[in-house]
Amino acid sequence: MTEKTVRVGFSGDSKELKINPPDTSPPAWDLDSKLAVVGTNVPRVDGPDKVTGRAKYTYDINLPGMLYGRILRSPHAAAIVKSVDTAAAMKMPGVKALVFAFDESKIGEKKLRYAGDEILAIAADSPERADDAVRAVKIEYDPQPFVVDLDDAMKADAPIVNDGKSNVRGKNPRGDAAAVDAKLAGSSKKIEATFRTQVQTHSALETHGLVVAPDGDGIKVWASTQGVFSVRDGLSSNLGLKAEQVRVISTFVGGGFGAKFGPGVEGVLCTKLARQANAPVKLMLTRKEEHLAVGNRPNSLQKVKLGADSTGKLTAISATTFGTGGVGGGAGCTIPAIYNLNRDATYKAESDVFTNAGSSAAMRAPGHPQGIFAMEQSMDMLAYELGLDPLEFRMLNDDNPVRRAQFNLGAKEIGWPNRPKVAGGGKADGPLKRGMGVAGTLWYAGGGKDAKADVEIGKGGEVTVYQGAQDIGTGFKTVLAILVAEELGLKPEDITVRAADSRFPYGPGSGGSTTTPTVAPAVHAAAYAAKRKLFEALATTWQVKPDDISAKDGKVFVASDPSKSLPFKKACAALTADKVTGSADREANYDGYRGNTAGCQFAEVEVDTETGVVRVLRVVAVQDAGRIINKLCSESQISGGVIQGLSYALFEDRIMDKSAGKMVNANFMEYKIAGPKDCPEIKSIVLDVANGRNSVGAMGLGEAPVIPTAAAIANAIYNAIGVRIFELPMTPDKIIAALARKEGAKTA
Amino acid sequence: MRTNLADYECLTPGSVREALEQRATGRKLIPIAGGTDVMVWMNDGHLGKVGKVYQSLHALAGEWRYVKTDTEGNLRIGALATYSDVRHHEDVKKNYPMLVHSAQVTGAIQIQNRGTLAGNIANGSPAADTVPALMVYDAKLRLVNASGERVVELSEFFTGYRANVLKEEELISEIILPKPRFAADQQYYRKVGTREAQAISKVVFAGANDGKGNVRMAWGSVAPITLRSKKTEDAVAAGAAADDAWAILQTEITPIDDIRSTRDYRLKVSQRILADFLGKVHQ
Repeated sequence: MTEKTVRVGFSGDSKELKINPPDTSPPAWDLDSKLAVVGTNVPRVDGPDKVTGRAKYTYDINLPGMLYGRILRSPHAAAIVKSVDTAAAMKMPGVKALVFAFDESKIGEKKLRYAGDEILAIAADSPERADDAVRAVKIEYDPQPFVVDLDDAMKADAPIVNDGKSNVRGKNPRGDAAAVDAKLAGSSKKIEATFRTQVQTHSALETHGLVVAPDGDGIKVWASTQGVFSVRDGLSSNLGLKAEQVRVISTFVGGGFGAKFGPGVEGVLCTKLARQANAPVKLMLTRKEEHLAVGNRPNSLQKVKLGADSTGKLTAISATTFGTGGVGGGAGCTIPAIYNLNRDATYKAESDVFTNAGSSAAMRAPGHPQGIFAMEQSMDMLAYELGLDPLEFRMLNDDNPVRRAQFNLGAKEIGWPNRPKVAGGGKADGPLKRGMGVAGTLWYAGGGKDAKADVEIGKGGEVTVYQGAQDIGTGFKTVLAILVAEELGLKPEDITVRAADSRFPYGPGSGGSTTTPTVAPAVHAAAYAAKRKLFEALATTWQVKPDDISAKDGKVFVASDPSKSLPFKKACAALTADKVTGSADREANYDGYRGNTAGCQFAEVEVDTETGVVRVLRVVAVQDAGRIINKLCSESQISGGVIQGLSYALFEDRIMDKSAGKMVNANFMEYKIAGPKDCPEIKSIVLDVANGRNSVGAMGLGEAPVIPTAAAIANAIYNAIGVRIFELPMTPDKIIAALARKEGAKTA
Repeated sequence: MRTNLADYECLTPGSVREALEQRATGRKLIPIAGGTDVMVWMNDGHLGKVGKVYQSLHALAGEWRYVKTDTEGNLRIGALATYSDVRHHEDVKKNYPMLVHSAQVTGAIQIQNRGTLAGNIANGSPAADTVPALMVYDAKLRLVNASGERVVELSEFFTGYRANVLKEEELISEIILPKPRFAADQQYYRKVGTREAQAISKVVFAGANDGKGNVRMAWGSVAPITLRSKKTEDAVAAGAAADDAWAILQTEITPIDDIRSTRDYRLKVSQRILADFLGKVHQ
């Protein structure tokens, strides 16, 4: 190892850093690196396949003799399975296999815990016959008491969902409640508020599902997944197969948002059906199953207290939160740590509450949109209480130089000084009133070890990158092409990308915004290694040292000798073998500029005070993600986050019938997601930050942009109409009710 | 949940006459026009196959898919005319702007290309978007059976939630709109939905005033049926102020809490739409 110096940061704040990378690593890109392809606008390499329909998603895989699987699910929120009679179903035409989702010997005592809980699966020769066969299974249920509502589940006499004496599972609180309360009491201004957020389902366009085909003594699997390798490992351990007996392919995936790791219950059932029938089985979930059974963002009930001194400096933060992830946990809200106070000034207590509903799953920045909705509205409340501009108040309390620069950029872009200075005091166009709001965000996606990559250069100049991880719609495949093109002096379209197959080098699951930051350094290093092999071959031909050779603008050349220059393809003819392969492992991160990423969003809304309809007119989203690999995809990733965040703010809501224990809008007719007409003008600004933690310096971008949107919109609504909405989604009836309360308070 | 369509019994008459003869046999036949409601109900599992027989009206398009103005100046909309047929028709665009508007905000383009106005009426959803507009235009329905026909007022067609005066042996053959009589700026249509497009209404309203004592106001999503608020109409025609009109309207509408909104919300929004309407038309 040799110590090297790199400059990290961004135009507004930079520093020099000593690093000790392994000698085999490519020279690290830093703030001063001049890159040709990285950071430019590169259209997706698989875009044409997607828009022309050539792309084959798991849904599109059809094999000869393929059967169709369908799952029978509990119609009850809680029930004991007394008996199961499958005789009639098995006699139906075309039915080939049936497997239970639980140990059959448990029939008589097996407890189903939510409407949608899996009972068994059937494979038949058409989807319709599988549906009919599922309907023909006769089950005797003994319905049990249940609870689906957060507040009801916290009551002492609530039916117990899992086990123990209570449905509430508190984690150890952080901080000293009494000390924080004392600080609050001594603060010159303080606010206290209770916030609620709803359950949101992932609602990826492509539902969960797989096609599993017996393949020799193993299986071949096409899966709609965020984790090619986690599906492989999950299925192989479940079935007692070796990892190499399971091949998983996920060439195209129609979104995941956090709910598609591992094979899932449906994956295990599909595989068992395929092995029982000894035929390929396709099992794709319906939209209804998707809403009920494969994950959601937990709801929340958050009690927040904030205090500030007379100069506007925060003095204390206290947050006590509850949330239900249904029969599962993971409902923490975390109150993300944008504003860092000392330990004795911060108190955070989180509890999971179990209910008889489908289990939560990680969803795009778990806990964060909930926590930021509460925290960033609380900040706004305190700013108004202090008589400070909400942006100025944040600047007073935010010591992150990146976010401070972003606040300034965003404020300029949205025209922050044009907002109403008094909440509700803006000029009205009939019943329509406008306002602006802001909220900050943060994320932690630096990636880490655990990725490999191969880059192959052929004698004819063909370049191929192999990486097993999946592209769930983020543009990951394009990232691979860009990195290799940069290192070899080529264009992204010159690179063939082979990804999303468990036979290729190991890659991570796409979670925590880590796919690009984890994989990019390995791909960069593999391209560098392949390039070194090409240079070594040329060095012999040209009688120079490999270090004298460069690759740029499609040429391979010796800078000091203009006679030694060849187009890339011709240069590759110097290879003695048919091809050379550069292979690399991801090195651990070293110290960098920052361990987290920052962002903020500004929203401008127009509220119809007669109907309560909120239109979001504009959102300015400023985000850092370390070094930007593809500006175009980064901006669209941010737009996607804003749209999903807006949809969470105004529309999406899993509605449970408390007395029936069932979801009443398990479809897209009544579970509304923002449509094109609901989308605002979105200005995405990526702030390129040379983060320096590895040779590439990229950070993740998948999650951060969804976090602050709802809070920014809520703050904009307050600015527009002088009424704060404490509960998501901010539907017209809540706005009208809040306005009526304000009117009532005025006249009373 | 899907099912094997081949297991369903579906009659496919080739002509209006054959369709009506099939209905005259006393069997309960569920008509399928565009199918945009039937298929949703079927997919949701609300329509079983046991004992249900469907009747596809697809082949009747030659006879029943039309939009035209007759010699007396009435607009006639055949039972198989789609939302798209209606919203793009020149006579409709010229004379019945609320019908164009209401067809535009119904579902998506795909729904508009398949769905029919007659089907929207027969389905009987109180949230139907075109029905308030049709009612304000004093639409009549021609109901036919194998031996004859009758004409009923649309405003008297619905008898309760998804219930109407149509008999088993009858089909709606056409919608008749009398000659236009409202000035363009005296017509008011408003849909308040969950989102900007492809959403079922929380409140939907159509209203018009001819300035000669004829006021029409029809409401959707605020009662078990789409209804004309005739008492409120009379009061407004007699010069009632907004507050008085609202007091009367509250005796005519009966909104509920449901999956899309609340009773309180629907009442408040109805009150404001009423006030807005009265402010924009002649008094």
